[in-house]
Parts: sequence; structure tokens; C-alpha cells
Amino acid sequence: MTERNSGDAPFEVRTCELVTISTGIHARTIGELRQAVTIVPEGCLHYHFWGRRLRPQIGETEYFNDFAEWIARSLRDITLAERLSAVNPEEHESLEGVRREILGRIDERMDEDDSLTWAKSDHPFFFVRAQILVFPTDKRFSGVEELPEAVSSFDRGSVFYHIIDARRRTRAKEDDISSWLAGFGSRTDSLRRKLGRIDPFIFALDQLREEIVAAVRGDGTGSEGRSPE
Amino acid sequence: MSGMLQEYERVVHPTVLSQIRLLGRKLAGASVVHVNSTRSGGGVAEILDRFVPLMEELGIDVRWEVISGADEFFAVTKRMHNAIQGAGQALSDAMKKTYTETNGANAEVLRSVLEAADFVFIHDPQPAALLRMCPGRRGKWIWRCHIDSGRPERRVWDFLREWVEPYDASVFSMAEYAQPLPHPEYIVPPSIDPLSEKNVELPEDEIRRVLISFGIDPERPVALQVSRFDRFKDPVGVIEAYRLCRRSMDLQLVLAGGDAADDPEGAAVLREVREAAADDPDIHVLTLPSDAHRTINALQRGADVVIQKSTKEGFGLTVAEGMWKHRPVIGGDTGGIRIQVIDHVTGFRVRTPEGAALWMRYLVRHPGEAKTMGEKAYAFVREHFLITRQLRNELSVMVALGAGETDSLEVFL
Repeated sequence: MTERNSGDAPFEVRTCELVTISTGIHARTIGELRQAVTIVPEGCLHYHFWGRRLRPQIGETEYFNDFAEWIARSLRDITLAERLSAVNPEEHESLEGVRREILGRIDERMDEDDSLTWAKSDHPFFFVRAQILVFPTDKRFSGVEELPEAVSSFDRGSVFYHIIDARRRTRAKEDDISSWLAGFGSRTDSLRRKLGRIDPFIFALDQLREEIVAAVRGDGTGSEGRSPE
Repeated sequence: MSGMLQEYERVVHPTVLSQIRLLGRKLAGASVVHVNSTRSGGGVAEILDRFVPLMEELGIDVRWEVISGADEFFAVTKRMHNAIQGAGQALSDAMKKTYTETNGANAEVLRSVLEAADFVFIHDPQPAALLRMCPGRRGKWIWRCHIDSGRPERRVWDFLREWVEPYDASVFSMAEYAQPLPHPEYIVPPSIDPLSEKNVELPEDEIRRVLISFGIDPERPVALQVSRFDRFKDPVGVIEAYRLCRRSMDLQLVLAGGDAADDPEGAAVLREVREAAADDPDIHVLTLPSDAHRTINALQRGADVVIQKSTKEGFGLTVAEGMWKHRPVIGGDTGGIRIQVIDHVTGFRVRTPEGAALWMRYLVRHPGEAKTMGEKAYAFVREHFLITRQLRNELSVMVALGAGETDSLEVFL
């Protein structure tokens, strides 16, 4: 028998597109990057950590955010790139905390080795932010047992919207699937806990979808996710 | 022209089209005017030629207006165009006067249409002054800059900035091109049209026929670069790379570009290319008319290796064109090529003739891998660089702009 959401509300699958907006700010040196990080809006940090996953890209990249990637590829400081790559926004209450950690990591590295101060890139770092446009889809489901198949059909925009954007958008800072499962009461607590343990930071969107499918199927973790798209 | 959007169902994911239709329904009935400086020739006219009927089909009340002017005006705007792209050419006071007066004359003709529109797209610098000349405007005005304005000649940019600052938004092709302006600056990369003559599927016998007509042997490996004869496209570097390859393998090289008749610098580069090619019968320097789209298509489909070895590039749509033909592309590590060529996945990024030669040899010697990369390149273009994506982005900008400053916007009816 199909388990129903107490409010009988089906889960309506949405997808999204990011409309990218330039901030007009760019950096060629670590000092310029540091200065810019202090002033750019939070949405800009969100884009360079999360929104980047919806950009034209194939497969995995080595670093988990644009700052780390630029420092590695353009300024060639792998030590700082590695430290910045480990900055996990999920460990901060807000993006202000992320901002402080980035600045702290940069300061720490400049204290260690001031030669980085002189490095200048041919390819500047361009700070952008994004507006998210949310679209309905014709997909909806009502029962928990439909979850694996339904989530398998999520496109990357749906994964981004329901899993990543939801954590910024909702008061409980949880993904939309968990919020919806809460409507079934305590019967879904275990599944919600399992979903809550999935760290979206270390998965590409396609991998994240696999992780969620595996969790809702009840067969533990899915792929051995390594890095975001 | 009903059903045009439906034609794209053959090539793009249905979700893209359903999103376009949703955006279209959100904008249905809105009046939109596009203004540029030419009805035919050039990338902007090409894209508007397609966008205007597609927007009409979505129920948007769209018009396309073209400004007029004397040769003197277009000489000034050509100079502005070059200066915005970084060629250091200042404008004299007389040139600024010509620019302003010609825009003023066009404003007299277009004012009522422009002031009444819900959205006005002004394309590139030529008609940018129109906004200030339409004080009764009621809609949103968007300056659509198609050119590489990343490092403009400062005095010319300062002059142009005066005209574009009051716009409600601007749209640039890459974040690198955006200059600080006091309004939202959207980033919408350009695209190719999969249904155009330059990109449609072609029968094998037509491809062979085109190759043979230029004296190219379809049975032997072919490397191709399609681009203007321009130093930044480094055609001489491509010849150098070809010569390095020829030390160890059979190869033909095709360099296809325009005839450069009205471009003195292009003519000089073409001479240099012909000198560098000398009398090598396996180097084919082709000067094609600007409407030889189907011929270019056949050459790209007949090539084993597609190259775009630019040392400076705007976006470089010939890269997406090559990738659309299931070819990995060897591209210069610059500009928009960096977005299209995912190194070692959809092609190879290079900075030297030696690097280009290495990967030319590699692709010819590893046809299986070249095929796999070519499929990835095709899929990448299908998802990110087709006209449907650009249309969706530009409609999104209109919807977003209509909604005002907000981080999140739901597109429902």
C-alpha cells in the first residue's frame, strides 16, 4: 500500500536555470582577490561555491570552489588552493562565515610565504553572482516508494534546486525531499536522517543524484563522490 | 512562421523547449524592439534573423529595426568597434558629432516605437545613443554588447559609457567583457544554430564532392582551420604546426577564410599565409564568400582535425561549430575557447605550434579516441552552445529584469 504524505501533498518536481550577472569586479593578484572577497555580496560567494556546478562543464574538477581553482591554475599556489578547496560552506551557519574563513586562509598563507603576493595572473578572476529562475516540470509523485524512480529522473537543475538551493532557501536548511518526507511523520525519520548525512559539498550534481537514489532505495551510499562538477 | 521552435525538437532536449515556451507565455503580449545596424551580414543579424521569428512564435510582439546612416557614420562606428575591442583609436570631436547626430536622426524616425515598447534591445555601440534621445520611454532598455569589450580603448569607452550607463541592464557574452556599469550586467554566451546551413547534417557524397572540388583528397587525413585571415587567429602558426606533423605523417591542411577584399590588414595576412604555404600542394588556402555556409559545413565535416589556434579570441564560435560536427577541437588557450574546449575532453588547448602539432598527430593516430572525444564535444555543444539555450537565457533576462532585484524567481503562469 502506498504511504501517503499526511497533507496528501504530492512532491512537485521543479528545475532551474541560473541567470549569471557580472559584479564588474575582477582580481589578478591574491591581494586583489582578498580585497574583493571582503566586499562582494553573499550571492557572489554562493555562486562561486555552488552555482558553478550548473556551468558548462564536463566531469569532475580537482577543486571544490572557483577561488581554489583559480589560485591553483592561475597563481600556481597549490598549498593555498588545497586549503581553500577544503572550505566547506555546510560547516558554516551563513556565507559570512565562509567569507571569514576564505580571508583567514589567504592571510595565513601570505604570512607563510609572501612570494604569493607578487604573483599576477594572465587570466583574471571575475566575480559573478546569479539569479535563479525556477521552472515547473510535469513530474510529480505522491508515495515514498516512488522516490527512487522519481529522483533518478531529476535533471541537474532539479538536483540543484531541490537539494542545494533548498538548504539556502528553507528555514530548516534542509533539502526539499526531507521537508516533504516530514509530512509522513516519524515513519520517515530514519530516511530523513540518512538524507541529512549526505554532504552535497563533495558530490557533483550527477553523483549527488545517485547518492540520494541510493539512500531512498535503502542500499546505503551510492558513488564514491570525489569532487563537484 | 509557425512551428519553427518545434523544428528544434529534433536536436535539443524537450525540457529546453518547454522552458522556452513557459518563458514565452510569461512574456506573451509584451512588445519588444531589437535595434541594430544591419539587416544582413555579421553575427548579430544572423542571430536576430532567427530570434525574431522564434519570439513571434512565442506570442511576443517583436520588431526588428535597423538604423541608417551615411558612410561617414559607419566609418566612425567601425572605429569605435575596433577601439572597444582594444585597438587604440581615439575619436575626434567631429566623429563624436557624427555619431550623436546620426543617432539623433534615427531617434526621430524610431522614437514612437521605442518609447512605447516594453523591452528595447540595443545591439552593440552603433545605436547605443538612442536611449538618451527617447525621454518618454516606458519599458526596460537593454544594451546587448556582442563584442569583446574586456580591454577597451579608454577614451572611446568613456564616450560610449555616457550613453550606456542609463540603461536598465546590459548583456555581455562573457564575464571577461563586462565593464563596471551602474546596472545589472547579465552574462549570456553566444551560440550556434543547429538548423542553419552551416550546421545541418550533410550527406556523405556532398562532403566528398566539396573536398574534391578544392583538390583535397578525401582518402587522406585533413586538418582544418576556418577563420578570417587575421594575425590573432595565427594561421601562420597553424602552417608551422602542419609542417611539424608532416615530418612523421601524411596530412593535408586547409585554411579557409574570407577573401579580405575590403580589409587591408586581412589582405596582408593572406599574403603572409600564401608565402608561408609556398608551393606545398597539400596546403589549401581557400578564400570563400561570406555566404559559403554550406561549403564551410562540408569542410568541417570532412576534416579529421579541426583547429582554432587563436592567440586572442572573442568567443570563437567556429570552435562550437567544429564540435557540433563531432570533432574534438585544438584551440588556442584564450578567450571563449577556454569555455568550449575542455582540455583533453572535448579537445586540446594549446599555446604553441609545437603543442598544436602534437595533438594534431595524436588525433590522427588515435581515431578511436578522437571519435570518443568528438561525441563528448557534440554533447557539450548540444547542452550549452545552441541557439535554444541563448534564446532561453535572453528570455530569462527579460523575465528577471521585469521582476526587479531578486535572487530567486519562479516562472509559473
